[in-house]
Amino acid sequence: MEQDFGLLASFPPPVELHIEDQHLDHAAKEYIRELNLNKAELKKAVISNHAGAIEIADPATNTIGCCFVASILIDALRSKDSSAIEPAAVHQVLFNFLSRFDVLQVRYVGSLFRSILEEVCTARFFSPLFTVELVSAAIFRLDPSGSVYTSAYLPVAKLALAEDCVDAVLPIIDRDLTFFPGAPTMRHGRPLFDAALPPPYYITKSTGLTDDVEPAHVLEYYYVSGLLYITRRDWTKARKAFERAVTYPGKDRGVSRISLAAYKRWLLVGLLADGAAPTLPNYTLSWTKHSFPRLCATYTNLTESFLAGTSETLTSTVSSNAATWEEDGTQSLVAEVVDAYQRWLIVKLRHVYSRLPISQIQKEITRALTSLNAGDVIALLESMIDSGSLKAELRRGAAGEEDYLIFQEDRALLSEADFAREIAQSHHTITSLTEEYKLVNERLSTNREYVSHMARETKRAEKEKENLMGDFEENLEDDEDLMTGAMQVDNTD
Amino acid sequence: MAHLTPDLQNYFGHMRQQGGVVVETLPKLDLDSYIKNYEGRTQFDRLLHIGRSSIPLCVDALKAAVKEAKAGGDVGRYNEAWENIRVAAPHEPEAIKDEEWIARQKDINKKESTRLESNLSGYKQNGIKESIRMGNEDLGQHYEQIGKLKEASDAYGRMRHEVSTTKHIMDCCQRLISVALQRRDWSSIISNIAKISSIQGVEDDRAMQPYIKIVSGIGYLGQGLFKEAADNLLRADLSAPADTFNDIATPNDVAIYGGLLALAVMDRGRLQTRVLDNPQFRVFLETESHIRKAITHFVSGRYSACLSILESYKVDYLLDIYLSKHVENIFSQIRQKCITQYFVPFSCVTLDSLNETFAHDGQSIEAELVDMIRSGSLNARIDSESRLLVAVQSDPRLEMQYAALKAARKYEDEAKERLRRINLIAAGLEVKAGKQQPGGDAAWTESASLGAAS
Repeated sequence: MEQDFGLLASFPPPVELHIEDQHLDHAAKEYIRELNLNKAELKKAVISNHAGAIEIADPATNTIGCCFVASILIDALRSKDSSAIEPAAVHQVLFNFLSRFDVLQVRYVGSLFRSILEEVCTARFFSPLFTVELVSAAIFRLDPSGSVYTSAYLPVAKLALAEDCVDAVLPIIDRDLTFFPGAPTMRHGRPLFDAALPPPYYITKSTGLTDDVEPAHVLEYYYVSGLLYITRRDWTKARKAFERAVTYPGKDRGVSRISLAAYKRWLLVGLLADGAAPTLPNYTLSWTKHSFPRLCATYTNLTESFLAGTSETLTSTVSSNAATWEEDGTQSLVAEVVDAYQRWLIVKLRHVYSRLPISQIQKEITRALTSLNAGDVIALLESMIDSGSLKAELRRGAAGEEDYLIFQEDRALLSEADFAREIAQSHHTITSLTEEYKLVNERLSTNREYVSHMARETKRAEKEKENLMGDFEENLEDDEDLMTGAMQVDNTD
Repeated sequence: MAHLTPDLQNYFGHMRQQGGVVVETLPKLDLDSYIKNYEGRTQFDRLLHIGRSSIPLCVDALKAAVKEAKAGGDVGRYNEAWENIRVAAPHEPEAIKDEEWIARQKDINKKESTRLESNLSGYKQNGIKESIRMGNEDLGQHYEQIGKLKEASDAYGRMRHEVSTTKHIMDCCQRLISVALQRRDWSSIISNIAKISSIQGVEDDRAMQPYIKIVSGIGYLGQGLFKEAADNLLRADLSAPADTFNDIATPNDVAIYGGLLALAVMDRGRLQTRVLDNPQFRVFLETESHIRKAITHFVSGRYSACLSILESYKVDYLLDIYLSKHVENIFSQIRQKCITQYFVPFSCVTLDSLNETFAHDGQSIEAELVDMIRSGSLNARIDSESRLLVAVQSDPRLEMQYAALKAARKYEDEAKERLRRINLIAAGLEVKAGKQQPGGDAAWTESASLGAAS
């Protein structure tokens, strides 16, 4: 028993030794090999004295050992002879492990770490809110750059949506994920202990930190992200998330039903975000551009009705397609769109008027949607001003005088310092993106198809260059007048 | 306003229902002298258009149209004119159908068609290219005269196979353009005129230059491309006699089309240089001095004077076969330009002064201003309290800051999206057609129920 805990405590080497990454890498691998060889004894020792094991394997210093202990305890708790294990102790171990693990050591026990994360994600150990917070924080720490999508994102996002704990998952949902599991593994020759190693190098299937994912997995993640933003009424981010599902790359005219469902919501949240129909970006697949509006004609009609300027068509479109909204599960979103109509009507007045009487706004709303008295209009305007959706001032007239709405400039001039900060931020983002592009380039350079494609392109370019020179020389030979020859070459350009 | 008989009332009620242009006011033009300026089949087209559009000139124009139709051999045209006059003025002698003439003319037409077709087949047997080309030309001309425009177009089209000189190409294209003008086939006009223009030296041919420019102008006008139409019409040169193109339009028409379209699409500087100071176009403008005056007023900033001149001639414009459909659009563009130009030197203008200058008596132009601001043609805001139209004065520093940040964010977003897509494809995560995505269905069922929660 002593010997087993001795093995458990044999890592990491004392800090005072100042061991280099290469040696730490070797030591970690050796430690894992030993633990695996003595797994049965270790299991016995941990189950019989889990308090001692927990004390020895501190997650902050010995994440690898702690990961083994936590895994053994979860298995034990799941098995029938779990009476010896106190659930509270296991919960404590899991909490300690996920909140304090060492981001370098965990790279060596990726599979175990992922299986623990998956277990925790079932919300068996903690409350849903706490689970989402814990898992989100663990994902965040594992990849501080926030660039690599892993198989852990979707389960936690779905849990957050189902249990209505959206705020807790936002730190990871807000990330711009640009790398995905499944790409060819890169040979980098650097130890996993290298703190400067970019996340795409170590969050891979081979380290076990992520499982393989399918297109539907990623698509559904974007779709669920959109729904999460909808619950927060963050229409702009919802539109962006749905847009990613709609513009998802496809092959051989392939589209997913998830993309189609996202498209319906994308149209609706687009209206809510900007008061205008969203437009598909230029990288959208052509068959998506052509087929989706046709497949979702009810929604495109609703969008046109919203923009038509009269409410009659909008309300009739909404009421005559109630079955469609119910079937698609979009009725609450459609109701939001109808509700937003008069608000956008008022906001758009700023493009025409600098100030206008409340009676005129009342007239516009009545003409467009519904009859409102002056008091209701003022209450509506005040709520819009308070919420920040309308940059304006409500000037109440003295007795007998008209009340006026005075629009204000909706953009504020930034100070030199603020402007410089914004530009610096953009510069920083673009610089880090350049690094990511370099990584992609390196990764693609090891891809057989890409290399042969590039070779073909280079060959073609060289051939064209040769031909151009050939033409020029031929012209020189054919034409006695050198200037005429030069002119001909110019004309061909 | 002319006395409106019950028959005319019914007739124009029907025209209105069909969406046709109906003009109640007496135009400035004199029908007889107007129609004498034209030659060929356009005379009938113009008479019929006036008859169907102008209440005061309806009967006279339709009677003249019947007469014109009977002077030719086109039974279809006679029937059309007769159908109109039968409803509009059933008591006129022209309203009685001349069945005898119809039968006789049909017989003549049939015999002539047979003769020309048999001639053509004879030429084909002989295999002499020039004879075949001329045979097709004769047949086309015959079909055109009897109103079989599609057959005429086919026969002229067949001429193309046997052309051997540039003159032949021009003839063939001109014939096709003539039929296309009658069929209002604007794209065919543009493509055939492009073929003529591509012939080397044709632009220098003084007889062809005005024809090419005028036909191009009318073609583009028909397509609603006012800028292109104005560009062509303003380059027409009246060095060739007007009878080289009076089967299409008169110099007066060219002055009106070119002048109005230039007013609609050009700024003051370009109006001065391209229209008023253009020696070629000045010759046309002299035939319609009111257009020259209107443009001069516009250039000098006297917008209300410009608009009132145009308004007084609007009826005449509505009775022109090529201009009629576009008059409202052209007038609206000119009016909007006048309002915009009027406002340019000011930071704010009272709505009352705008009403005084541009609105009709007792009316307000506020609704029009709202439309212009919404469409983006006027960069201003209305202050309903002070009754002012205020120019939007942007802060260059603010614009610069937002433009810079917008560009940076757009770049960031696009770079991220492209990176994301590259990596999705590199990871083999594209959606593929006809393949069930593993795990997709189960995941989808769940997400659909989550979707319902939204």
